[in-house]
Amino acid sequence: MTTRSNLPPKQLIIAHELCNGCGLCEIICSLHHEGYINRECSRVRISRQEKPIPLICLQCLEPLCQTNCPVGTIDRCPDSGILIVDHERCLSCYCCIISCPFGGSSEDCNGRMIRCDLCGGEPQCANFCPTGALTVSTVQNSSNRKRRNFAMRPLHSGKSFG
Amino acid sequence: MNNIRNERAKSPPQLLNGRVLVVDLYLQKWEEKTISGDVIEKYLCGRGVGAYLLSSFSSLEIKKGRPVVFAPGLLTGIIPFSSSCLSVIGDDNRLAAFSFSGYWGLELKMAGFDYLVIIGESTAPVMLTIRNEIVDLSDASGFWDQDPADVIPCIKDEQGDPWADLMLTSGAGAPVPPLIARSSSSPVDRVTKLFASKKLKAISVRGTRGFRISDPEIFKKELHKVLPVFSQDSISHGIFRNHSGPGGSDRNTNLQYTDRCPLLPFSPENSQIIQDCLGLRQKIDLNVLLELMKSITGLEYSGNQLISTACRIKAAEVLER
Repeated sequence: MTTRSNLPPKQLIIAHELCNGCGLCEIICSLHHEGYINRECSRVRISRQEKPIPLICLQCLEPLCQTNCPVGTIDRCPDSGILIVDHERCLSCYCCIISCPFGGSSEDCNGRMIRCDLCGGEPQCANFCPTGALTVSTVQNSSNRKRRNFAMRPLHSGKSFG
Repeated sequence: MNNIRNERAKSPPQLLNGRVLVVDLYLQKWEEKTISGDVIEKYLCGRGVGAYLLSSFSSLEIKKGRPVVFAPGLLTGIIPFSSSCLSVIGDDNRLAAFSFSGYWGLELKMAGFDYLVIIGESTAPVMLTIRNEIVDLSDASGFWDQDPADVIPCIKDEQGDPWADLMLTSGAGAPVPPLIARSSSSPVDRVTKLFASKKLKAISVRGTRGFRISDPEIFKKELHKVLPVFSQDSISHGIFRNHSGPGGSDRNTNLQYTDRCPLLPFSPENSQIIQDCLGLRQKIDLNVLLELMKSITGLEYSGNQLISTACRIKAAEVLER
């Protein structure tokens, strides 16, 4: 059974309200993993609808992609806790893509299933995000920051809540 | 339409391979040409090569219609919020260059083409579709008079590709990117009439091949120095600026026109030309910019060379008949 201690100690946290859709994360991700620029091969994909939002594998505690993989190619690295795909055994059946409710898995330009692997522990996209929409932190720190920001709002805006 | 997935297996080409897609709307055919590396060195990309290509094609006997060149800049799709250039020949025999943002230029590069030239006039409304190296001219009579806001989802549904980037004309045949067309007016009358006369309703581009740059590590190192520049801007489809006439209308109030400030140490006019060649819309330190250009192309550039290039482009934009 996966416990919280198996998860990566730090994760890629998305502050979607800060994303301006610049696409640098996609460029840097594909450069880092593939050696060339191609958004199709990026592990982070920006959904460019009304508001740009970066979408990545959220490293779920109970990943549906792992549960639904017919050949068990998705597993957690014992050292880092990061979910990784065994491409040697992967059938490219799309079950992980269909299962993921967050769009965390995708198919690259060569037909392989790809997902964010946190670059082995130091996500490159977070180093190049100009607005701070992508940061490396613990989930708890991210929650604490949002609580703090929300709690500070009535003091500045003069509005009350509750 | 062939399955785009089949095209993905090929290795991505080096950026700036000089591939020009020439589409003849009158003859309803297309061909691929190549321009040499020294042309790119002399004219950079974007507006520069646009001027070079226009002057090359204007001297040919073309059955009806003036050529139009779409030229992404050297940095288009590589740095955020970059622009591409649309070059046409005006009535005064001078070239007019318009820059527009969005993802269209990137998609053309990802499809494996550096430039798109459209010549001739079609006898019936057509739509041009580019899917990697597959080019198709299809009938657009069914939606010629429709507004782009209505046409975009229909085309994407029909082609089964929601990620395609479309450049559309409005119901009146005005060639404007979708965002501007959904608003009201645009002062790009020359381009409007030209596209209406060509009966070209839409250009749909989608590329999945990607491209290589010369030195990714140096590129990342230099890019890191200018990150704050990209924190203010936002993607704005359809920003259309007319450099040869009155200023274009900008419907995205979040956009900061940093190119109104000259790219130091160049004059405003040279600065605008160079920025249009590069597809650059931000103010970036010249030394960092030159290093970025070198990491992308592998070619050394200097400030003086850029000034010479700007002068060369200015001369090329006055066509000799």
